[in-house]
Amino acid sequence: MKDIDLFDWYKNIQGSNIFFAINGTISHSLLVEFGEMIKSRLFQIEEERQVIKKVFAIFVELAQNLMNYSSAKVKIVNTDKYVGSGIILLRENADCYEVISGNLVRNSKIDMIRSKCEYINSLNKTELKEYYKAEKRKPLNKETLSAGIGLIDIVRKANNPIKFMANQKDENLSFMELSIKIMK
Amino acid sequence: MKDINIEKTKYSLEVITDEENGIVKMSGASYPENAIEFFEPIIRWLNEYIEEVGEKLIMELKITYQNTSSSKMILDMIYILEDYFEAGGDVKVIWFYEEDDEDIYETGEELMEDFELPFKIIAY
Repeated sequence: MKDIDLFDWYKNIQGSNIFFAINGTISHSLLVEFGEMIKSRLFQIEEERQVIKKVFAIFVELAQNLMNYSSAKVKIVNTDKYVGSGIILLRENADCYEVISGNLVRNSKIDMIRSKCEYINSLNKTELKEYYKAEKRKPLNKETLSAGIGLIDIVRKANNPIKFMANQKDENLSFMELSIKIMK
Repeated sequence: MKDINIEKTKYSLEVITDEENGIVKMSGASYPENAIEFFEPIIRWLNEYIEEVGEKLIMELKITYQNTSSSKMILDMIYILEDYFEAGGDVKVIWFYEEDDEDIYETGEELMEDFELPFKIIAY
């Protein structure tokens, strides 16, 4: 196992205002616990309940996205369940909160996700609502449990564009980052 | 038919059905691990009620948070009620929202726009 230079790591994240970070697998029960933690933390620093609810909702949606779609999956001991692995960060800036997720995705899927984000970002409020409604009428994917509307919902709740970034790791996989700001 | 009584958790709804009075009540936050599995018995109950009892049916929804797959399942349940309404059934949906919760209010409003059945939005 690689040594960790904690001081280096500490210096790296100084000034980034991260108040929650998880790297690894997130099972559903952990998601629920993290969700509660994040809410209690936000109740200490944020007065607007609507903002807290939005940050929580976006965290849950991005975390479930990661659990279901990350290409790095880990088997949960004593079960036949596999959950996705990745990174989720929450940070507080002067004027907003930011939820960031990062996980491995097959290279072949990157273009599809990128264009979906670009398309969603190009829509105005009314168009987003219509797109959301149209996608919601489609049947749920029984395998991924995806309603295909997570990203649209996130952008609608945040009222901000979703930022997409991908770095190719090797010939099969890329590291994909999604981030979104929720204004205070 | 057997009524449903599911206790609420941090991540799943309380669900109570009342066959005698034709009422289905759901309340709480909804982001279960598997939304299809969670909502499947409720959907079955609705279909059975419509088929076997066929009386008035009121659905009360007091949702504080729903993830996208739950919102999809809730939409599917309202579609079942809409079909019943179109076939002449006495149906009503009541959507509750906490007074300052704009997102939940808007979710209710958007649902109301898409259906013909009686749909009421009430603040608490």
